[in-house]
Amino acid sequence: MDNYEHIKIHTPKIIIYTVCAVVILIALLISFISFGWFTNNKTAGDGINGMNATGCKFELATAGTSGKYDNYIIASDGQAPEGEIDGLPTGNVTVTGSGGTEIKWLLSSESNFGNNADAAADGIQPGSYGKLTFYVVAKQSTDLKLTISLDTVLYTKDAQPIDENNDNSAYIIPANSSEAKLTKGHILFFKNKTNGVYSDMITDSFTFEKLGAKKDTAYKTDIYWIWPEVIDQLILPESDSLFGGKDYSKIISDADTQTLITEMSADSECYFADNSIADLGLMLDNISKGSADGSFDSGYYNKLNLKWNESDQFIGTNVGYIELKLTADDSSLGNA
Amino acid sequence: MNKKLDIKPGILRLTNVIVLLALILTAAVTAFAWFTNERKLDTITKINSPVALKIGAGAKEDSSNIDMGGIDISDQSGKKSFVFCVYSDESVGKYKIQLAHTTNIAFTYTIYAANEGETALPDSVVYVDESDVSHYYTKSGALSGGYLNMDENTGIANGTYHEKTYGAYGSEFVQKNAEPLYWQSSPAITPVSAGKNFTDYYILEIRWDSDKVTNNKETDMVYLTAGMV
Repeated sequence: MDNYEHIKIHTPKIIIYTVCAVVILIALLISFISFGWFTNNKTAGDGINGMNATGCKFELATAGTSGKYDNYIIASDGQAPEGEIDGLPTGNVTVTGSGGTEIKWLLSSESNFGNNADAAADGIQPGSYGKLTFYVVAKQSTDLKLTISLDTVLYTKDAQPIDENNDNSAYIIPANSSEAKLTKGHILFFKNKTNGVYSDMITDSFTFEKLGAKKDTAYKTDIYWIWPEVIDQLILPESDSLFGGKDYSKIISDADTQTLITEMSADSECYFADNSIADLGLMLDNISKGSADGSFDSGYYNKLNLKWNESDQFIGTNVGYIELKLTADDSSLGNA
Repeated sequence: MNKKLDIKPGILRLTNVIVLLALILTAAVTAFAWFTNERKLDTITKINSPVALKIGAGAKEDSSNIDMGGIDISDQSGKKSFVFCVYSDESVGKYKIQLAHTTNIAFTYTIYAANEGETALPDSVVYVDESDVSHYYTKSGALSGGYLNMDENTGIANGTYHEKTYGAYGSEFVQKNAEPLYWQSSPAITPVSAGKNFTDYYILEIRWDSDKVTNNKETDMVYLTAGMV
């Protein structure tokens, strides 16, 4: 009782109440501003529907089953879609929304990162490739223009299934490490694939655009990932005779090769573990002209292949897991 | 006296305000998440080491220990054997062994699968490792396979792989014994312990007919390769 009396006498409640009132008022104002900011101009026809709980013009949806290593990451499971949505596959589907704005990607034998639970696939290595599918679900009948960005987080081989007491943050490999840079340069993402050739490389982000999107309709989007086995598949011209008799061929379009060569020259530490290769730009240019060119030097070609393979070995030895985060952002907001 | 009584009222007031601010911040952040127009998908996969098939000497030592120099053809046995191994730290489906050599000296080359034994047997090939420990290997059957470019009559290389070896450099400029012979195991070999890491031992036996060879005459280049198929 002594204690109670003590506080009662010395606490000027009126000040606390005043502070509370002011702060709550400010908080309410912030909330309204946020709401106004993040909720787009609603079209007149949408009426009260525009003020839905999430205030977002779109959601993301995935289909399939849980991934093999899903218990290594923190993200919600998502929820089944509410109501009828056109364009989604039958079977198990989850969407973002009130069940979580970041959800785990569902996978299948068609759509995976070497991590679908029901296949013999157990991770990725040089020579692996695949497709990841997701759906953009329009929540309003409107033009959708989203910025889709891809980010990766790497973990050491010590990462393990997480529980309420442990996450894997202690095993994150820093983004500025050699491992992270090399992985970014060796595991590549593309928007398109035609006859086994990948094109439109995604360096950081790309734009998803659907003019006249219909409310409650899902739009399927694929992204492709590859971890090339040898550098020939990236640099030599598509029809080079050096591919003759080999069990692999050119894997990216010649236009993407030019983009990649520029990137390789500018950020060589993302592609070669040995970052002191003299005349790298010269060698890449030479190889990309192809073996039919009179100046072609097979010494360059062999040297860079060796460096590429050493880098793959470095990644495989030091990196345990790769987490892929896809973020879709309503880029129209910048102009709203 | 209870310790709580020592807390000064000023600190309590401060604590109250901080708690309130924290609550309000939490509310604001929640509101942000609620109204944000950002949605995310998240997945994770395992990174595997590239599957590497390696060639080593006996006792799985470095391949630089496969020393084929100094064959003395006055050796009455008429042959010399070298132990090597093909191994991987990963599971490998199937692989092939290839042998390429020039034909300056009239040697015959045969590769045998081998088993490591605990003790020396009469036909054991001994490999002494870097720590001076002897390892004993015995042949268990010649590898099936064949030369891809041997001229049956002369025993030297025909032109089948000339272009692959020398490119546009014409065969008229290459001494016939310098043109390498290519031998390849066939069918592809399944590792002894399939489905996991393995070490398969082999013995490369080089034989000669003492009437046809002389010491200190010539040099041959021998390449051993193993590749996954």
